[in-house]
Amino acid sequence: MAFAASIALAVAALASFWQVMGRFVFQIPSTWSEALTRVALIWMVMLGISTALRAGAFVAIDLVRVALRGRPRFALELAITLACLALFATLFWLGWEMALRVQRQEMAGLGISMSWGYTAIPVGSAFAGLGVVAHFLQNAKGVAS
Amino acid sequence: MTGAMMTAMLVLFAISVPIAIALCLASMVGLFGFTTLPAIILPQQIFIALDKFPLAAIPFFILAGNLMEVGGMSRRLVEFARAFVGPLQGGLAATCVLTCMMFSAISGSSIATMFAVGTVLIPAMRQYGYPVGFTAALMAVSAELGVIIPPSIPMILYGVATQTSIPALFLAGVLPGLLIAGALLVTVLTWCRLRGWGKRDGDARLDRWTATRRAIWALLMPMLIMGGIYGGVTTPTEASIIAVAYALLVGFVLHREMTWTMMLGAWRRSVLTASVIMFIIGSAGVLGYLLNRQGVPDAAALWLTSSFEGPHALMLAINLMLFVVGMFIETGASIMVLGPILQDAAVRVGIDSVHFGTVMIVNLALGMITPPLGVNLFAAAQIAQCSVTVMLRPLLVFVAVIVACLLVITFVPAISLTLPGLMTR
Amino acid sequence: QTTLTVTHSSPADSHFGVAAIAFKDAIEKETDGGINVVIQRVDNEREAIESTQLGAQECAMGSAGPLGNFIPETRVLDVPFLFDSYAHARGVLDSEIGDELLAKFDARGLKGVAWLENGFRNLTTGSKTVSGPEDMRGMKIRTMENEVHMKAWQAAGVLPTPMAFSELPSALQQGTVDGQENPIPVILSNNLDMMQKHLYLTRHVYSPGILLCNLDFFEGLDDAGRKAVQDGAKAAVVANRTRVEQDETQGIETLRGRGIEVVEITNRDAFRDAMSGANADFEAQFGADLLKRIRDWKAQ
Ligand code: NA
Ligand code: NA
Repeated sequence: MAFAASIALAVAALASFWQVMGRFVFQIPSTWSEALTRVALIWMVMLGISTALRAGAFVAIDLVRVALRGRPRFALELAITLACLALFATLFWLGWEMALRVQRQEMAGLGISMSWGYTAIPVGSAFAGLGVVAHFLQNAKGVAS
Repeated sequence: MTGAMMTAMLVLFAISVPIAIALCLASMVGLFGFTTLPAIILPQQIFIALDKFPLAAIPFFILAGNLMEVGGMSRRLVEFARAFVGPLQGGLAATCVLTCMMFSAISGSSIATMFAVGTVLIPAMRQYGYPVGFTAALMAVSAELGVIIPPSIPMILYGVATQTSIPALFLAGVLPGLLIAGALLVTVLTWCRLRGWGKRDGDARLDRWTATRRAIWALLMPMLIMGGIYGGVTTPTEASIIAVAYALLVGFVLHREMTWTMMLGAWRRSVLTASVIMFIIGSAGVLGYLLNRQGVPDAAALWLTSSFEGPHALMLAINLMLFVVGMFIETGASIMVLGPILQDAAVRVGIDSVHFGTVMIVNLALGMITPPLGVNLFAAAQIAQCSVTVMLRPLLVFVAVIVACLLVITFVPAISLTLPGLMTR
Repeated sequence: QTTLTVTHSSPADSHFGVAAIAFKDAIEKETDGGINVVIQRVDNEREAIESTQLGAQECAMGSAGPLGNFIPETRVLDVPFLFDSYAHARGVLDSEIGDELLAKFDARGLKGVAWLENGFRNLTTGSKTVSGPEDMRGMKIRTMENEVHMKAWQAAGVLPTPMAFSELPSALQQGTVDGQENPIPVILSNNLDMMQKHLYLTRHVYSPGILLCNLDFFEGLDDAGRKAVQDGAKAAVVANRTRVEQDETQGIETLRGRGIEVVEITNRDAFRDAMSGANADFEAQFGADLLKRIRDWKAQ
């Protein structure tokens, strides 16, 4: 997923680079680059968080978590994991519904369906859920030993 | 409903649920439990919060910072600063402040500044006998400059959230950044003299001419970014992509230090950092939408302006509140949720939006070095391989210094407003 | 009691703000409080239409800028030099042509209630001057992200540069673009004249506004409720148009007073001709018949 998110960032970077070059070097202001940058970055975020969640890179106030040991710690880790899963399951479900609802809305600048943007949310949420589970399994081993 | 959302948020924070997830879950509690709004606005508002072009500067400035690090720019900036202040007692500590200041002018985030400068300087300072707690704390506090000296991601967020001119905010950060850097320099030099640290910091430094020549491409970079914005070539967002292109050019062609592997590593790290920050923006967007629908911003601004008479009392109260908020909540989330509410109150009593933004950002930057949630502390601890606890005593001093600077910046608007004033005719 | 949340995209004291208040007052008076109207401000006009579609809010008013992405047929109104005057534009929108367009909203889960307006758009520039359309060749002018507008500008040799509105003031300030085009009230309320030297009253595009509601909500109202919303819309239209006229006459005076050079365009036909290269495209897209019907519309 980090790879797909990196590609999304590359697309955004190339599109905005073209935007500046197009206007100043070639004198052809671009009409689509801004919209493409925005969509690509939403995809980057939604695909990128799964790797971040797996690595435990989301910031939290973890005073309580760090203070606990053994079974209470395990129970807390489980609760946090379930909270995260609840969110991403909801986002997957509602995001999918949203992507269907906006199918006939056109994205300004690109002329494609808005669904191409909104689909990032269910797709990203599915991988984010996997990332949360992977982090938990890795962590559980550490807590148990 | 607002009460229920706040309670849910605090409970989730307390049990160590990540901030971004907690914001979203708290919004879900409000949305599903207390309104008849369609559930589908949850993904819609996340999307809308992220679907803004100026936000593109966030990943690009992070990427530029990481590419500069692997392209050898941060190391050269360290050598440059050291060539000048190395001979002083405590020269390495001063180098840390100065390098962060210079790196801040090309990086938009404190974390990028931290990794770029810290990975070079923390080992060096350890080698020259500085205590680990002091070293890590100094690094954490100096990296704050990353968001105060332009370009700055929090300023972009504030500009987007309150519709304040981002170029004006950038200019407004320059003098406060120099003030803080100056105060830190005086502090560390005095400190080292009192404790007898860093007497041999000048050893094995480069001569000034060589150091300058080697660092020239890095030193030119701020001019490229700011020159692009104020010379009418680019918007701030576009300046961030120019910074990326320049970092690639320097790394691959001018310094010839960057390899494909290094570039891909930097790319990947940037994606992770940016995704985390931007997901918080999305979550804060949902919460902000719900608060708006409840009329909370208006009510809060009214309450603030009627409870605290005049701009001085209001600014003191807001500063105190932001200091507490900064201890617990991440900067981006605070700006997106509280920025519009507080700015509204401030503007009502006649405070300039650009000045207010500067104060808010300096204050929240302080939050990056106050426990329990201080992202700079976590990063410094990671680089220095120490615990946050050993940093706490030196931090007390640094926090006091920054608070003093914050008060000066709060009550002397000219420090923030002089430079942006030159911009408008 | 039913709650009707209506959003608009401008300050309370503006051509949409006063329309929202007129809408609220008329509905609450007619239903004797049976429908409680809540006014909120949402700057993002695409979001407001989408949220209305989803049912997160009952109604929305604002410029018709993003409307074409939801109901492509409405893009015909964006064609430059389609209308000669306010009387012409309002006459067409209030006639069966306007109603036919509103009828297209139903298929998208929306109820097109009434056409409002932003007014005619005019050109402003920084240091460059424009004495005729040929002077615009090669200029970078910030336009909306609207393909019809961009096509027309390109036909005139301009380099249309779409850009987020939030980035516009600094882009004008720094000279990133040579000029921009907007209705007078927008120029005035955002102080764009501070960064510009010349205002050309080109009136090249009439910018409509729209008042729309969620279709299910509207159809779920009883007859009295629906009539109240329709009557509220009529009050909103009157308030909106009166304010646009007032803003425009006073606005031009205020702008002149603040020091921007105001230039009346006498050869409007020359600008029309400069953009005529895009006409074949527009005829293919919207139908030559419809364009002709709009252009030839005469008050009965
Ligand atoms: Na910076
Ligand atoms: Na903190």
